[in-house]
Amino acid sequence: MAGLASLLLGDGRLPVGAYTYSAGLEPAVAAGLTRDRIPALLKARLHTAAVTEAAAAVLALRAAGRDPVDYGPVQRALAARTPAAPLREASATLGRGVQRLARRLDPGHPAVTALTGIRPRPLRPVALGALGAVMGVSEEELARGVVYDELQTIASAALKLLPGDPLDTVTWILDAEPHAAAAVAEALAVRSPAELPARTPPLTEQWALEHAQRERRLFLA
Amino acid sequence: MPDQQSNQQSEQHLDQQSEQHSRPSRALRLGVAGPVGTGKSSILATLCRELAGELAMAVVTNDIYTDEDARFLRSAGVLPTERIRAVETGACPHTAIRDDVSANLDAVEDLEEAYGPLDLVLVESGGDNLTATFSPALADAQLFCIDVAGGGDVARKGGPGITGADLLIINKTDLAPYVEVDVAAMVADASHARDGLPVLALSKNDPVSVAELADWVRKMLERHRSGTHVPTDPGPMAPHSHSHDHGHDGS
Amino acid sequence: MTAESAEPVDPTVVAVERDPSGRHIARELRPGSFLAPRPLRPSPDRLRIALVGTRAGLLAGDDLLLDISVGPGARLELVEPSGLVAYDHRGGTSRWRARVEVAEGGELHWDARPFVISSGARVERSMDVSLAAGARMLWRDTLVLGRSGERGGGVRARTHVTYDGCELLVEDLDLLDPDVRELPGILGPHRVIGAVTALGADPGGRPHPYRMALAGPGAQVRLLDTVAPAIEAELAAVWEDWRAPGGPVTPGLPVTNG
Repeated sequence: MAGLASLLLGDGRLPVGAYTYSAGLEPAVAAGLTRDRIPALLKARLHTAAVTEAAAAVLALRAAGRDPVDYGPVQRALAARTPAAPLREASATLGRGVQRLARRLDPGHPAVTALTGIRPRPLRPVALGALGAVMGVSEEELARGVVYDELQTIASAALKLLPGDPLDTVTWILDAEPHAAAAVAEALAVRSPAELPARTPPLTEQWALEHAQRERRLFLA
Repeated sequence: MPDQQSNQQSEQHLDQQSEQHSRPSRALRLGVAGPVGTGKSSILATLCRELAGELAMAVVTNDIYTDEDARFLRSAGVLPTERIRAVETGACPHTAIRDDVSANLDAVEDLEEAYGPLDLVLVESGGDNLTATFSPALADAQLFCIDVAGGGDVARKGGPGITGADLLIINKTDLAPYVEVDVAAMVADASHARDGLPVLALSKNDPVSVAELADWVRKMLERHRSGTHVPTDPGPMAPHSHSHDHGHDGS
Repeated sequence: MTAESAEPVDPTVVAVERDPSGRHIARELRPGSFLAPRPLRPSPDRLRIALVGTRAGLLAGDDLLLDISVGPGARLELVEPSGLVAYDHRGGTSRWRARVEVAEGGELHWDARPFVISSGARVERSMDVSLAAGARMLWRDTLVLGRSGERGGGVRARTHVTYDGCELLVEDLDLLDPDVRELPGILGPHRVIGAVTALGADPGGRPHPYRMALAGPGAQVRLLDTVAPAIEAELAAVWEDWRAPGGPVTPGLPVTNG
């Protein structure tokens, strides 16, 4: 099952509400980011948020495999590394879609039932760890899926926000490969929630705060 | 943004309900779809005005730009503002009501949890086109709204919403003389295309038609509660009644 | 990454307490290699200590270490008369480390002056804060990349704050590689990063567009700019707003979940 499951994880058509998210692109565009700078933005994400997201998902997947399942440490570690409330809220909203899918696939799975006790709601990487456990993906597949999703989220949001030739977006993603591979490797090397990377992108946080105060938005964050 | 502090158990409970569709204890989720500018927000405002006195209601809006419709409704003062939620749809209003209803389900569940028990939750689609209809995973029943200003032949042209929605509304009938549309003929065309499903010629300035609309919703709610209403999916595609003649069917 | 230590680390130590009668006492004020603590005229409700530079700024191999502890119910205000400059390290690395412990009911105010990272400098800065339940800290810090006209050296600023044993704020601000930090979303064109951070309690105060409400008890306003003076004034205003005595101070609740 894992062969298809890992592809599903990275598929933007997976019905978990991901199309409502631009991974920071809409706030960046509002702050003046132009289309030619998207590859640079991808690189920035791969050095910062994507590493944290992927590493947290891997930690959650490991937690999902233990008995009893306890996501508390990774959820708390991630929250402490996400000081901007709008980003935590967006993550929890996206996590909810993932949780809904995991629950549909296997409602009684310990990895799924353990999500229920988390307050506030599970952040997206935590829910992804549970989904990964249910779908039987490996740590590497999960990390790669999270990192790829980050890139594809920005690329597809760009088609709405900074329209241009959709074929360009494929080049952006392929060109980001070395940075993506490094992000995956770094995420896999994290051994415990205490080691969870906290690579802060300060401007991204500011943009997220500005976005949350705007009235006309296409995307959650 | 959904309430971060919400009670998880009740969330799970609601989610289970949403998966077992026609359980009568939860609110009727009524979708309102139709092309841009045909008066969906106005219909929502009308329904709130007519029904909020007797039913516990809430509204979810989907917009191209997040909260335009929500702001319209809030300013109309027909429902407490906190019962009107706007959902970001990433410029994919079509996806939000059909391919991936997660964001809308979250909003509906949050409202039910915060203000429940509710009788009726209205979900307004972002104005898209004639092909955008609600998945039964989100809406128990749906209105599809077109208007006379779109031209008298819209109803005849058909499309999934026109042919398959639980109720088709031909809106703004008071404008018919100005746009040279024969409302009776439009209703007849629509009724023909809908194979007996109801059609309502509506104007917010015509109290009789407004009362008919409210009655239709009350009856739908009754059927929902008694479990006799089965949510149906108009589908995204216009019915291909002749598809096999052209070899499109594949069967 | 370890600094090439030229000499044994000699920490600057500031330890204050409150005796049973409620009087503040400086239990230990020990000068280190770079900074000497000097008592200032105390406020009615707190001790005020200046951290006075005893040596020119940081060079390669330097290791500035500060140990600050505030006892139960005690209040300390740290004052820096001047900022700190890290000069061209010519390939080496320096370190700036602070370890802060605030006991139950204690409070630390630390209004740090700008830390300038000249071109050629490479600094590892770490701030480790441990707050007991009911302890609070208000911290202002500003990093300036480069002196006037410079692109600036590298700094990796790590912040690790726990409240009642749980992580409250963890950050690894890696600004070592100018090509990476100038990417969109990280710093872009900005060279100045300044913040006022309230830890252990919601500071109340006026709304601010860049206020970040932490998951646990605390908040931060962080501002970025291409030049320093503009944000210094704004940060000073936030500082005054948040330190205002009698402001609505909500004691931190136990961190149960992020």
